[in-house]
Amino acid sequence: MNELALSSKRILAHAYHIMVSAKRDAFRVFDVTLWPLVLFLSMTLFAGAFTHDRRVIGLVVLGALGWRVIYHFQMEAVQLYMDNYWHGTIEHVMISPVRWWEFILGGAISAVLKILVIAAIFLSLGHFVFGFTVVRWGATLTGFLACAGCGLVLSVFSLGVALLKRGDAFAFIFAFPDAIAVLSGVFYPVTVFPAPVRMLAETLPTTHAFNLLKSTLGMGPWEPGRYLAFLAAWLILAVLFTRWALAKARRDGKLVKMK
Amino acid sequence: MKALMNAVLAENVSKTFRGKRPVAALTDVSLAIREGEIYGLLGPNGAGKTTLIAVLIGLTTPDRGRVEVCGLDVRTRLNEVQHQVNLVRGFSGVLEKFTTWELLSYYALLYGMPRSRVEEVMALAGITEKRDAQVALFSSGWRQRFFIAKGVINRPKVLFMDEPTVGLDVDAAHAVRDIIRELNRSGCTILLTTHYMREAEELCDRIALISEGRIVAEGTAAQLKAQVKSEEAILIDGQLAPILRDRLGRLPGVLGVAQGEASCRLLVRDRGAMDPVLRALLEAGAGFTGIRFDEPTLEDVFLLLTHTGLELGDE
Repeated sequence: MNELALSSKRILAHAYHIMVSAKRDAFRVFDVTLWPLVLFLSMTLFAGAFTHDRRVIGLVVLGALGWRVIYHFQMEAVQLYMDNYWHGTIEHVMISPVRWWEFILGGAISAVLKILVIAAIFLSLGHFVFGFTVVRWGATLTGFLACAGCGLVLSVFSLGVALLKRGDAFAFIFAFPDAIAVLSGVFYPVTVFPAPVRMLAETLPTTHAFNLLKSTLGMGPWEPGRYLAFLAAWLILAVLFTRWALAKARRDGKLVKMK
Repeated sequence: MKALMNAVLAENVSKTFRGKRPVAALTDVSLAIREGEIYGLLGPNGAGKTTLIAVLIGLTTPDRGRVEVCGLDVRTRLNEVQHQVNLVRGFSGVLEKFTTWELLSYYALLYGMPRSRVEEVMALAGITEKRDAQVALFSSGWRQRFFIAKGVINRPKVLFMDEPTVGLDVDAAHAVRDIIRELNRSGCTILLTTHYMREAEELCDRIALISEGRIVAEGTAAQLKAQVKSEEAILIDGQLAPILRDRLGRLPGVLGVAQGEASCRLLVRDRGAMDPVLRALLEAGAGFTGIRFDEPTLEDVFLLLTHTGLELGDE
């Protein structure tokens, strides 16, 4: 078997791990049901109470879904690593020929599956309860793909943090995508921020990914080039950081929890 | 007749863990494990056994020195090395909620092995009947069998076994040792760390004694014991207070003192040491139930070389 086929199997192994865990753990099922519903209903009902503008409802529906896309693409790979770390089994994974980016891609497979469930819930509720319908499917899907790209980059960065800080990293990793989403103008333009915060927000690929989604409602600029440029810059930084973190964890003897 | 190629080679490996108080975990460790051998690593807690394994399998980078596994440099060809090795640990956790079959399937996928291999290793470790049971709910004996199944899932050339029988009852430990012998007969080179002297003597072709991150002696059990054949050991049944052990250690002719779970062992230069030892025990009013001379063991070698006890189990 060549290395590409072996790598594909390892990626599938990670997705398999997450799906078996999700199947048996009610808390993980809430990840695709209860928690997203709470976010969705609280925001859409809030918006619906003040306006009947379909574009505003659409902004909330697409923003909430984009936020979940970023969250799952970021979280799955790190959760996979942390799961093994907390259970004291990480050495059995790290002694295998696994590469760090295979965690990311394995996590991405399970993220896609989870997002399909959440998208079905959000879009059907958005349609039947609030009368929202996606009009420009191609552009909207592009926006969600952009959010997924951001999630993957955040996932690389978060894996690096997990490699460095291990158990202590989880609180940060959990809060990270939410803080980024808020900073990126998930339901509003980043112009609401003071100038220094706005400048920071402009450097985040997530801001430009949300702009792509907003543009399908005529509420934001369609600038895929800017998105790609910032995504590439963040990806390079994230990869360099995680490679450094991995080497440091090996050097410090903290890659695994062997005592 | 076993081949003489090296399955594992470590040359002058040193590792210090930095921090507020730097710890020299390994200092100039060199060893060569021949293909097809069971090589034992014997030492007390904190001696550096697990760190050495972590370095040999590439989980920890050494500060200095070179490691080769199956002729491959671990630093530069780690990915290839990882296809050739696997790990069984006595202290491992397990992922909750996974059945035996699911968890072994996960590990099989990590090595690109077909699902049929899962059935093979379950049969080899004798856990086929536990196929659909959750591994996290296993007793320690079954759990260790599971880890052996996991350890051979990729048909490793070298299997690293870190305390594989720790905490097991006598029957379970016996079953695990049988599996280790069987694996070795099938051609697998094994590096085994253990607390149990008898286990090391029974299983290992060669043994290295490790103390404070250094290999202090290496050889067959008989070669190692030959180092203390001119000495004697006194075995005192009972637990002695640390202060009394210190006093015994300072008596003329006493080379080392080690307190085990049920008895205290003294390595002495000759039988003449019995009188002062007995006198010291009686003067101190020590609560002991028996005292006698004993055959030299690997622990005595350790005492002789390091002047500290191995604190080994009696299994």
